Amino acid sequence: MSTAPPTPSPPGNGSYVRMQESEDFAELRRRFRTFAFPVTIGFTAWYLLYVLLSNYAGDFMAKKLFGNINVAFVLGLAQFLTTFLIAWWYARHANAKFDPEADRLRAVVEADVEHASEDAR
Amino acid sequence: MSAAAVALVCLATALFSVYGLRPGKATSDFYVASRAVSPTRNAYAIGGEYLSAASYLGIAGLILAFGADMLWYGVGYTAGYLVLLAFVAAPLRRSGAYTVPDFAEARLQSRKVRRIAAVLVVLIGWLYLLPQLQGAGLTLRTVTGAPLWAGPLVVTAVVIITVASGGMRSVTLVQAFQYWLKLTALAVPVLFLLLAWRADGAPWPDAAAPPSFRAATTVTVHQAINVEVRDPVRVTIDGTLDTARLHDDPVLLTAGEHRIGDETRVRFPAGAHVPHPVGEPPPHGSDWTRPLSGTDHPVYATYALLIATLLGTMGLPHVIVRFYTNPDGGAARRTTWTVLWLLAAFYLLPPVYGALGRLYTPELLMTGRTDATVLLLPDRLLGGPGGTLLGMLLTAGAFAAFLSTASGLTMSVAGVLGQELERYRAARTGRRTSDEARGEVRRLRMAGVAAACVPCLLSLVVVERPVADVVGLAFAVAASSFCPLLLLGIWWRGLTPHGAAAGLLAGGGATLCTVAVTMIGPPKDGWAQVLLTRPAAWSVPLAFAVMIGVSLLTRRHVPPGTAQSLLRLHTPESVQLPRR
Amino acid sequence: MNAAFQLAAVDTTDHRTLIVSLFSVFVAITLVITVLAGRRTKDATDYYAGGRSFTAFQNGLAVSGDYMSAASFLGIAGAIALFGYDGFLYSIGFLVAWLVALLLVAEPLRNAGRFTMGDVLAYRMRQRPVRTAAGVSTIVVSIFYLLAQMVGAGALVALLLGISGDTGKNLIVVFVGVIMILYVTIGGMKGTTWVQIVKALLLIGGTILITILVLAKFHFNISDLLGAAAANASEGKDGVDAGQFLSGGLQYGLNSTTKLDFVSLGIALVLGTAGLPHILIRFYTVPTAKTARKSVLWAIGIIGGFYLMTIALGFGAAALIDRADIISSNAAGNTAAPLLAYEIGGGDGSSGGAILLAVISAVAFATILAVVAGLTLASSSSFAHDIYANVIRKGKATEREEVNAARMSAIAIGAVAILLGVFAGKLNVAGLVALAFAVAASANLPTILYSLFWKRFNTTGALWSIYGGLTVSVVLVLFSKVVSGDPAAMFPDVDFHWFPLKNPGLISIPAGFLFGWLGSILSKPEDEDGKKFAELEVRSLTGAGAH
Repeated sequence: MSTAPPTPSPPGNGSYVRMQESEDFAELRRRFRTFAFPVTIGFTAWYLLYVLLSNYAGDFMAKKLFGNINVAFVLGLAQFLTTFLIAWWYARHANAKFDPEADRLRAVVEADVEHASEDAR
Repeated sequence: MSAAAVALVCLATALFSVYGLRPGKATSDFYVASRAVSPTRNAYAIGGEYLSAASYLGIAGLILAFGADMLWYGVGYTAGYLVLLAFVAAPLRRSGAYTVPDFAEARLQSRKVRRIAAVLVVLIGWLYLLPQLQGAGLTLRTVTGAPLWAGPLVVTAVVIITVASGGMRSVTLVQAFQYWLKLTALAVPVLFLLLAWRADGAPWPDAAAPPSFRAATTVTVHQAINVEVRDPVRVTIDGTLDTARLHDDPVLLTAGEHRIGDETRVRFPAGAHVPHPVGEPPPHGSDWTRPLSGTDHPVYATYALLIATLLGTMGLPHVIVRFYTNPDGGAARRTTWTVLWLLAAFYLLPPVYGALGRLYTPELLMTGRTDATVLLLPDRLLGGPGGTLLGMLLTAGAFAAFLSTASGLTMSVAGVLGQELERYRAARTGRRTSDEARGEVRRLRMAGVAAACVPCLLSLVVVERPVADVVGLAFAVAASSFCPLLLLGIWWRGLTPHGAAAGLLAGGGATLCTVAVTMIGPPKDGWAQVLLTRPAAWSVPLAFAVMIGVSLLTRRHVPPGTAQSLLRLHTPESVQLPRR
Repeated sequence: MNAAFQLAAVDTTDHRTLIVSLFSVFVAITLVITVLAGRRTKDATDYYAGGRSFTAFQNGLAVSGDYMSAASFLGIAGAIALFGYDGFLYSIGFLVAWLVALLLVAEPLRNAGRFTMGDVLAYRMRQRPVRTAAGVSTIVVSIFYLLAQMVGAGALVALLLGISGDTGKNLIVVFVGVIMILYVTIGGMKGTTWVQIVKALLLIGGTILITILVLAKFHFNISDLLGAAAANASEGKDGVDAGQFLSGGLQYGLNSTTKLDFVSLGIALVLGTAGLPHILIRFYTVPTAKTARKSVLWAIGIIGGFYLMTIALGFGAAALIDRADIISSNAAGNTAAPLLAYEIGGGDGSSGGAILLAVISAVAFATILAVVAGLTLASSSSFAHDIYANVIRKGKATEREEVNAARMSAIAIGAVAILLGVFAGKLNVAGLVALAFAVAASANLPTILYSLFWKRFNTTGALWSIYGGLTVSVVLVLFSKVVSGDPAAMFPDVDFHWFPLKNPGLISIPAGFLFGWLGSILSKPEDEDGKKFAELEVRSLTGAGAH
């Protein structure tokens, strides 16, 4: 069971290249990257900011907001909240903007590959 | 704790040999698959089988005791392969003989020479097995405190299972794995040991003084020993000193000889000089670091050692067989080339242990168990849970060394033994039935059991000597018997059966006598001691001289067909010859 | 330690029978499931990926089960109980990390690979070297993680059962190890996944129960809970500053080095999770990338909820149990959660306390068992699929041989784990976990991201990033206080450390990315016409041709 594709491109590779060069795919890729990359950078920065604040801004974090609940605690819970929100947001984005297009292109490519391998036979 | 590491290695070896590792062709039976085994993997397997307890524990122990002179062991063990490659490997492979007795019979057409060679193979095999088993005993006692006989019994038991099931040697992959296990088990701890040594200020053995304890050390003497104390020192003793029973009592150890009793613990303060066994002063720092100065008559001893290891490798039964796994001369050369690198890489490590052992485990000089230094260093130098883990790794590697070499050797010895017995029976009854064939398998297994049990018993009774020393003797016997037989058989058409028999008996017999004397207890110093413990420098020329001399005297008995068999030995495979 | 535990108001011996029987029920049920699943394990897809038959929710539970180790269940609760806010800080890193997995890794990896990380690399590059590298880093990460789990398991089992002898403790570790080997070899991925699901449900159920009981005690007023915790923690001779207890700094705020260490740890946690092999193989157990995404969403929900509850657990323990008792029971606070369960169930002599303690202890056992099984499966899969089938046998092994090799290596790895668990009991495991995350983040993550998103990446780059990241992290740890120069180090008696941090992530993660980039631009491009990258990119984004 050789699992990885063989080094010489299989028949139908042309269809992948054609697909990659198509505008539809460029749009799909753009939709993925314009969401995933900035959001990743965003939440990483937000998390780092939080870590740095916890480390180096003790007084600020110790400020009590109500009862015994201080800034540190609220910010920590905010990390949880943002994580849940980003996950939900991403799921919505993917379902609405990404999946239908990806499924459509997948069908196109697979039909094309099927065609090409039949030709090869 | 380390007992578990030992148990794991033993269990794995036994399981592998009984069930075999048979995931497809690559590791299936090794004779059949010889063409499928790449030269590199074959080289790993050779390395795995060749690196015995002598290499793993022994060299470090000898370097700890005698210093730079002992580096020749590693050089000799490695270079022996070069000699084997240059003079013997290819012709022997072309001869189609799988063992030296086979070769002797094919070349000289003499049953008698064959039988002498067979006896020598068995004796050399046993001599080589002996230190492996004693090393196992020492290892097991060092790491678990088990009695000395436990190790040989464990190894023998596993080897018998292995040999009786007939698996081990056929599994190239397992032997290859053993090489990497041994290399890793030595290489990883060395890294940490060197770091710890640097952190300790990178000390160096004192040039002018004898070895001394760096820190306060408790030495446990298991077997009573007479030691010589150089400077008076105040120690705490629990056990017997001279005639007095002491219980953790402080006492002044005066200069001179003392007898320390069985199971006695002596606590030395930091900086005290290490007492040494009476009559065996260890070399001082400056002698220790320089070649040709550690022992009596160093020039003779060094050359004798080099001759034994260079010429003896070709006569070791488990080494020669491995060369048949190569499909052709080219692969054989690539294999040997790789083996040389593998061995060279491995032999860089024991000297480091030896040198560190000189600094951190000098008490071994007092008890004489210098072979244990490799096992003790991690705990001594590093300590903590990490030190324990590394100690376990080293123990596992040591047992891999005992088991792989011991099973390879036992298989070879059992093969020769069984073959001879079978010929004897066949000669008597003449015919064979299927019942007989089944009996043959059973007898071969019996031979395996015998081949493993005899050295086990021997290891329990004979005096224990440093592992590498005894292995050196096995090399010497091989060098003074099989080396002349192989070299002259391959390269000289004038060899006669009588000459071969006389040479084998003279060289092999003489060295075996020295071995017997050494085992019982050699003279402590002087020329007699050097000549007896390092016989190769005189016994090899003796064997050659007798073999050539008697052959010349019995020139009429040169076997017919000698020219043809020599032609066959020396013609490359690519040339088509009419074969008989 | 054990005697101290019994002093800490809990006489465990009475409840040992209960704990053991509850745990036995769990083991029996999971073993039955495993055997049933094992009967239906026929080919490699069944063994490695559970036949890709799991739903998003099931897989989400299993991912959570794999991720919520005993370290995070008992460890974080204990850390919060002892250090307050700093322990809480820890859990946030563990959670946020999942966004990296969700956004960047899970779906493309599911689309482009079959069973392991090596599959994705082998798409574009020379198979044998990159598969070897992927296998090596997978096994290194798994072994470090496994070691930490097993060592923790030994100590924990002794504490929870109040066993004082080494023999008893070792027997239990051996028992745990053997059960784990059975799960993996018989059940394969399917059996192991069901074990994870059962365990996750138990863990969450137990945590919810105790959380509700704790909160009820404070009338669901979190402020009161925090106040009581801070007040209780500052009492006694080893009490701590109440303000710091709530705003951080007790554990990591000692000096600038420890602060930096925490930053390093935080980065390694966030970037390492998406490179952990036992998490990565979970993305292959579902039929499509969309299900993979959904299972990560479920996992984020479950894990997030779980960590929120550990806050209640930790602060609850701090509020209700004397700090001195927690410390005397286990210096790292690992027994805070069981102690809390005992206390909340009614305390001394009550049967409620005994039952709750037994439940929590059994859950902790189940947790250890399941995580160890997941790790063993991940490393044996990688060995069999990447190294054995595609490097040693050059792709010529049959599925049967490959699955057998996976089972064999699972047994071998399990045996090593048992041995380490028994004999490395005194090792400081915190450094090992940090190392596992750091290696995952500095060797695996750069390689995965580059190969998915960077056209110019090639074999040399992959090898450089894996081996470079691996070497830098291992060497830095080797020369840190984790290994030498500290009473809790592997070699406490010698000192050759020069790297000040305990976690190498701050240096090694950028180094891993840098190595991957350098290796690529310094060597010849492999994929001149971009055909292979085209295929990978189209496959990874659309799911075309995914199995």
